[in-house]
Amino acid sequence: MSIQVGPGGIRPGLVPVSRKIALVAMLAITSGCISPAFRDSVGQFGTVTKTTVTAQGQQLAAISATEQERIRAQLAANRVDLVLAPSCAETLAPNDTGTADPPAPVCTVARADGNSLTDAPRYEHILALGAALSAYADSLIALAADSSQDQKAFAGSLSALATSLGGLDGAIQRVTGGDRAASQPQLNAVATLVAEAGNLYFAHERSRVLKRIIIAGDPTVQRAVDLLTGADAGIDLYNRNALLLHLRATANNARRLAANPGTSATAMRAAQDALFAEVATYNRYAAGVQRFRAIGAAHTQLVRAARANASAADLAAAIQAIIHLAGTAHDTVTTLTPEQGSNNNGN
Amino acid sequence: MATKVNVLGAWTQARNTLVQNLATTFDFLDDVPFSDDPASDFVKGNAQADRIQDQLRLLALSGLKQIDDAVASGTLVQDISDLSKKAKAEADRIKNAAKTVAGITKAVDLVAGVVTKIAGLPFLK
Repeated sequence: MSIQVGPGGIRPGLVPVSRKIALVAMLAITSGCISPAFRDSVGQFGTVTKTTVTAQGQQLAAISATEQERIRAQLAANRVDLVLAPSCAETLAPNDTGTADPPAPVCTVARADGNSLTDAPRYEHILALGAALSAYADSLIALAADSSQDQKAFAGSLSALATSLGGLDGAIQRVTGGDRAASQPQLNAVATLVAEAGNLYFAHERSRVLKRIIIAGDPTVQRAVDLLTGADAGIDLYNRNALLLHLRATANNARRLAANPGTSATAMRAAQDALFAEVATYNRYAAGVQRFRAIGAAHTQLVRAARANASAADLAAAIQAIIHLAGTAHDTVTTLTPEQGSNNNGN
Repeated sequence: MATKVNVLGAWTQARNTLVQNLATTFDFLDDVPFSDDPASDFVKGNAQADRIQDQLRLLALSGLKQIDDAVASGTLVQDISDLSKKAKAEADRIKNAAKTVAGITKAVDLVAGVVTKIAGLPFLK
């Protein structure tokens, strides 16, 4: 890696030039792990976490819709007398203060008997927590991005570097009295070296910042994981209960036919086939409770890898945890499609 | 958060008790013949199972509500949002640094400055 300039070789005063440029590269190489494996792991963690949060949001929305349907069905079944609230008339004369105080009237439906109407649950705070965790995952993905984009931006900005090198070259010419053409190959070597150092620098920066964020954020992420795991327990109970209710109805139908001596073998077979199919559907339902636990475990492993400067063993453990997380997320997403149909006719 | 954990513990205990009652009811129903008679053990047992399952549904909904309330009363959403904002800012900083190459050119400027100073030394003229 010689950057000796001019046919007469480098002057003693210029020796630090090569050393300083080499130092830039060495700093980037040695001041932290720049293996892409850590950043890849974090990126995958972010992607799977987003999938898991999305799946939970869909399930909460399905529960809200099912409960809304139940409330409306009960209102109709009980022949509840519904009327327009006086606020519907008040909407014709909205306040024009331009402020939110007092709030603008909203037209609502009320019960004529004076009892309050039950609202379907919306779980907006759990959804907000999921959205925040998803945004965190997004930020990790952005930080863990391949540094090739940085390299492209870096290459595009080399004009600034060329200006600096031009200044360097001019100074060297004045010192050595050497000719510019002869120094060009060496200067190109310097430019290449600096460019490589830059690439290493950006890759290192991404890893360094990722480690810092992940370590600092772990307590918060684990608290979120605890709450979202609790939410998953509620979701699981709700969904399984709906499926079991449906299963019981199918089983009772088969028993009803079996108890009737006049039931044909074909009808009996159809009822029992339906029962076997329902049991299979019930058993396919994947418990979601493990999803957020898996996120917590994977994040913990990433913290360990970050603290150990991404040692091979800790990185392997992190990757294993992420694979497990990906598996539970996949099971959930696979289960979601058939499950949504059950939600609406179960409970 | 300690309160939340206790609430979740009570919730789990209530769920397990209801599930145990449901399993007992299933066990009972397995041993009685099918009947449409409202006074039969079969119909009564199924009514009991329906009640337990309705309680399980309500328990699921109340558990979700408790967690929703716990999230609403804490600062966790804000904490995570702050964290992701910091991470995003860092990502932008690196991206912008790549565009300006300030860090790298600064090193070269430094070197160029040293060389210029050396060139200005009287004995080299």
